Amino acid sequence: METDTYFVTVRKAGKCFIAVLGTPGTALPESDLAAVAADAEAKIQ
Amino acid sequence: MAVIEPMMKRGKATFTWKDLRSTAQPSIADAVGASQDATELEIPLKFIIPHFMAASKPASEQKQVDVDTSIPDVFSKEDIEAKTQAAAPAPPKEEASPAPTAPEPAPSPSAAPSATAPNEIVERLSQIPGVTGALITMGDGLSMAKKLPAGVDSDALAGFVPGLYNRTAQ
Repeated sequence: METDTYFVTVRKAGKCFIAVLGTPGTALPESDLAAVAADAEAKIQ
Repeated sequence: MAVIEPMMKRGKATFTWKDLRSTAQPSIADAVGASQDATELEIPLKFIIPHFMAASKPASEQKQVDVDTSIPDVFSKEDIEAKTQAAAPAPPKEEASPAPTAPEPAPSPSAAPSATAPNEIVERLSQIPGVTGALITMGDGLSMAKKLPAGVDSDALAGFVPGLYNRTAQ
């Protein structure tokens, strides 16, 4: 049985939560995620 | 009154001669018909009723209530027409001044993104290098938008995310 493994990064945007899935071993650009999260916080109330 | 009321309910008014003699005006001497004191005499109701009704008038007049004149009469057609005509000129004034309404378009775009914003954000996140999927959930674990790889149970993940954040954010 094959299983896929992801790591999950969770951020809070207002009353919502944003979960981002990444593949192990792959670094996520933190600045890009932070920018989108900030935008999400502004747009999602 | 206390004596007559039961008689009115009964529909028959009877008095003894003694009672009539003692209450009659002008007064009648006690000797007159003394032998018939116990005799009952029926008085026709048509003589008693007018006096009874006059004596049993309600003690207090009906209360008068002051009604605010600014309250419209909802049952009066004329009143409603007058109000609608008075209200009608107001909207054209607002339409006549387009300059102040220029900022108005701002709310409508902000309302539209509220429906599309989560999807847009999920789309943007999924374009970031290294990101394989993204999900936005409410605090109660209901998903708002998602773009996940095949095989990932979005409902399970959505329910898991708020708790995960609350535990790791401490």
